[in-house]
Amino acid sequence: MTTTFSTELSEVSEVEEVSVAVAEIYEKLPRDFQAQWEAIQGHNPAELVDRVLRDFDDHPEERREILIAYLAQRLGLSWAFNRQETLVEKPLWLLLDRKTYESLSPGDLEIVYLIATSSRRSRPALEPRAALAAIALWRNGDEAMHARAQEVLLNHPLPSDLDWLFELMRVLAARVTDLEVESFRRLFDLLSLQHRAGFQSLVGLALGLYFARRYGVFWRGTSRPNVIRACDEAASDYTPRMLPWLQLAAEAAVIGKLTLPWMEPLVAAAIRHEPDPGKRQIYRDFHRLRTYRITKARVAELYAGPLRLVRSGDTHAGASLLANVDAMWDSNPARARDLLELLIAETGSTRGNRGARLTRVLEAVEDVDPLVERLLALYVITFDLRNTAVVMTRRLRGRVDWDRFGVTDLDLDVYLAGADYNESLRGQMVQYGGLQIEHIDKDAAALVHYFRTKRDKVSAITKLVQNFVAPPDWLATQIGESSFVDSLFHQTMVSFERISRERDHGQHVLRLMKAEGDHQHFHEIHGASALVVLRVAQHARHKALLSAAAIGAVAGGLAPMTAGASAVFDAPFVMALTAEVCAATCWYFGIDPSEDPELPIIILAIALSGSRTDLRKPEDVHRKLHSFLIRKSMILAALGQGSFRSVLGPTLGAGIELVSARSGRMASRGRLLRIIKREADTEWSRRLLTGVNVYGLPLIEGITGAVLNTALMYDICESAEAVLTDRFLDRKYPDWKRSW
Amino acid sequence: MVTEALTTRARRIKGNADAIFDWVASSDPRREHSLCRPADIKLRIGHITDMHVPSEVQLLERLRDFTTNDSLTDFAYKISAFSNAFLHEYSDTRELYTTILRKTLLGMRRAGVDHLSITGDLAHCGLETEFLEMQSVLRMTGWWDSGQLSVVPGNHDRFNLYERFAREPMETFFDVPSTRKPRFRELPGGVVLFEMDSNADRIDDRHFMEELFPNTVGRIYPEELAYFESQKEKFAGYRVITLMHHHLSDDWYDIGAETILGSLMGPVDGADTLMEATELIDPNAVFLHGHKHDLMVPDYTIGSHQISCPGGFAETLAVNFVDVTVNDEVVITQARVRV
Repeated sequence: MTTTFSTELSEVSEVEEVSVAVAEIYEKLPRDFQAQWEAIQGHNPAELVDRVLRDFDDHPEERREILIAYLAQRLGLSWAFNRQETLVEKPLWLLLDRKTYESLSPGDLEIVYLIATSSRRSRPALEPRAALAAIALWRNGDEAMHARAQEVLLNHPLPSDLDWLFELMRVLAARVTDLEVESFRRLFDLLSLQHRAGFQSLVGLALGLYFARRYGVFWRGTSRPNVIRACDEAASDYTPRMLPWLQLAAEAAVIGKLTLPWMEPLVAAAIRHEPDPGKRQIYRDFHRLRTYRITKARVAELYAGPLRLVRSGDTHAGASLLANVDAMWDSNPARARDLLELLIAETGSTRGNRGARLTRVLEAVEDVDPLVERLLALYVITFDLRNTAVVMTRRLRGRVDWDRFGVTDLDLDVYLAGADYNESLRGQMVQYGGLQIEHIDKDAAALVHYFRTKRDKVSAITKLVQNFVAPPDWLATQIGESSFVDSLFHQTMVSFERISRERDHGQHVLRLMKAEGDHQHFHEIHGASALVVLRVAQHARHKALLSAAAIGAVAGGLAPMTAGASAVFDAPFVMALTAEVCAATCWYFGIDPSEDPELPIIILAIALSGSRTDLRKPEDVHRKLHSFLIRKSMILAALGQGSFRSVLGPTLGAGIELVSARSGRMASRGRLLRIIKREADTEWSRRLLTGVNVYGLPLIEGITGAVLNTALMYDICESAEAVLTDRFLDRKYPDWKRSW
Repeated sequence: MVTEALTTRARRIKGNADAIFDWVASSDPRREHSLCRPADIKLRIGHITDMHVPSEVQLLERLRDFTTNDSLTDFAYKISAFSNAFLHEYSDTRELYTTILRKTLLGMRRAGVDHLSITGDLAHCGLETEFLEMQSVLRMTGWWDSGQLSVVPGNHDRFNLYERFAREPMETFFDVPSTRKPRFRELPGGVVLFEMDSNADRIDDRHFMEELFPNTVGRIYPEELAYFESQKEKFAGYRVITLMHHHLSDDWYDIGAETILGSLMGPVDGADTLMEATELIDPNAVFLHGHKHDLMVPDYTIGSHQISCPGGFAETLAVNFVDVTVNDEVVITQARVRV
């Protein structure tokens, strides 16, 4: 293993001739900034430079940290009043000010130069603090130092970090700061220097931020729309003093082939104001290609005038825009496509927005014209993922002379296969759970797998209802749980199930399936994608959930007014709905439930007992449902029968009973009950409870009823989907191992 | 239907990469704003990370999950699963997301990429269906079975929110290195990829916060460094590009509460040692990683090492083109797919 850096440091510190102070700095590097700061205090700069150069030749970062800490102390920054983040950055920003710079000794300036050259050779750009040091020396240093710093700035670009660069523009573009130095040391000269060094990208970025600073004082400078807006303003706000900036922007854009969106207005302005015809032509040739990356909204904004003329029937404007499209064909096909779409949209009716107009025009196309032909080619070239683009390309594929636009058969095939989700997946097989299945069925297989694994227990709501112990002395309990009612419930369920099984939903399902794909006959559903089938089956689920919630809400809401009777009488509706959902869902999966009568029972059994249940006998399953419904009704009836007080009182009493039985502190029980009773008997609490009884109870009852019914119905729907998907995959893949 | 022919033919696709991507930035400010393959390079590596391919999720199904809890940990996992699933940019348009991924990877073909590197988090919840979906994207775009693909696992590939249920590990679907067992892959032009699984060992070295939240911590193990050292003679003089999932430093993004409170989502443990170790072969080794979904500036460096992270693809839609020039310099260009 390599020797670690900390080991090397400790070895250095052991050398006798190293002064104690310097050794301390080394030992505390690189993490303990405060200790390092204290160790540097009062240190001799010459010795520090000497040691740092000798021992940190290969570690410019550490060298920089020590030197900046030293510089901060020289500039009078205090550890006590500044955060560490401030101390490691602020000294360099301060040096951009001439007066602060002039307060440094020649020895200190050498330290600044060492910081300026502390970027590694392998680093693409200057480290931000090194860049600040270099700029400070270049702006404020004497001629020799200016030349040395210039060398650094010619060899390395400034950092491209937007926040840093914007701050630099903010500081240097301030009029006072910029005018305090000679004319060849100003911000413009700095950017020109970077341009001469070949760092056009950086210059383009900096120019945008410069104009954002100048024209958008109150905007967020690094936001792209703000920079574009600022450059728009700059381009229209021409004064002769602006010309060099515009020329610099145009030169950088042409040489660096810049695509930054805010360069467009600047280059356009440079073309307008450039006095030299030769240069103007060079700018124009570049500008004609429109390589700038802009959004479609911006395209619409830039071409708003000509597009309006096209709408008013000006054919010359249309031809001119088409020429623009052709000019951008290779250099910026995405922009060419956007412009062409806008142009085509203007040829249609005026109703609706541009997107809707374009869609209408394209949908009406039967024979391709030169515009549509070009647009389709651009869709392929730009790999447009929009559904309209894919559908249009497929529909008109045979009618376009693709060769004319350089689009090959391979391009077309790959585009149509890639941009259409299903196209390339059709027939593709994957290994799932040790079985070869179609790729499009993998999510359905996962659904079965996760349902079987995750839903082995019933939900907390179902469990709560199932565990509800109805008082045995209640008449409702005695009647509801009698064997007569149980037998009646079973018979009724059997009848409901028979009726539901015999109802034919085939045509309805087929209609829904036709909307999803090319399915003409019911039996073709077996061969469809399981995902499509599941998507269509969501119709049944949504209807069932809404119906269950509505029935529960009405039954619960009416319970206080009907002495709880409505809570009992919603049971037949829920039974009918349950039977209907269990049977009707089968149709969505291409299964006629009358041919497989045990399926609805399996679905119901799993919904009520979890995915691993062995319940299969109809009477057992119905008993489970009966038990659930009778308890659910009793909960609602109990809530609605009296008042909050009659529910809260016994509940509190039972709770106290339980606590005192566990803690054994029976003596405190009576006292606690007395306190509760006393508090509940005040005038205020009586009014509150009356108000809640009158207005709140039906609402709470309604919500409770809806939640309980929805929870039951969700479980039924979910288990129906899982069981039926399992059956569906079993029919489709002979090797599929059925779970239920 | 994807025939074998189309998959193979996709590898030959050519055209204008600038029609698919927007040039964003480059570590070399002298470069033109174009993604066409420059003439002065000997190798171009495409780098994409944190695609988080989502699976089919339904709101009601996830809400129903909350109604059966075994413990507080179980509940915390479900909260994690819920937010994870629904915070995904494309959770309800996952088919569109797949086509965006196809477009991106075909765009890399157009840009003349020689080798594709994926630095983890291919899957969003570590589910089989997500791996299969990503596999289909790679197959359709011709990268699968091409010998031009490197994948390393991310934390989302290693844990999954249903890890207590039986499932297939990532290795069933992708050829990836595993914890403590890195590997080298030699590329043309004197370049070698050091592929490593930077996830903490979930069995022998599980992080304390994983009781509540799944694995988000990265760690470099001595075995990995020792392996690197053992290969130094073999690859002496090569340019080393390290592929890992977890990030190396935290000064390029805003630190969130999860790092402060739970020491999660911080840089990989042992980053300094790893960088030192790579210097045994290449003093300027390059690191490509993901994990944090923030976009890193392409000229970011730590010491002598260029580091690159194009951020979570679902959020940034960004990729990097890592060019090795004939002078063995590495230029990183960032691009964003046009959607």
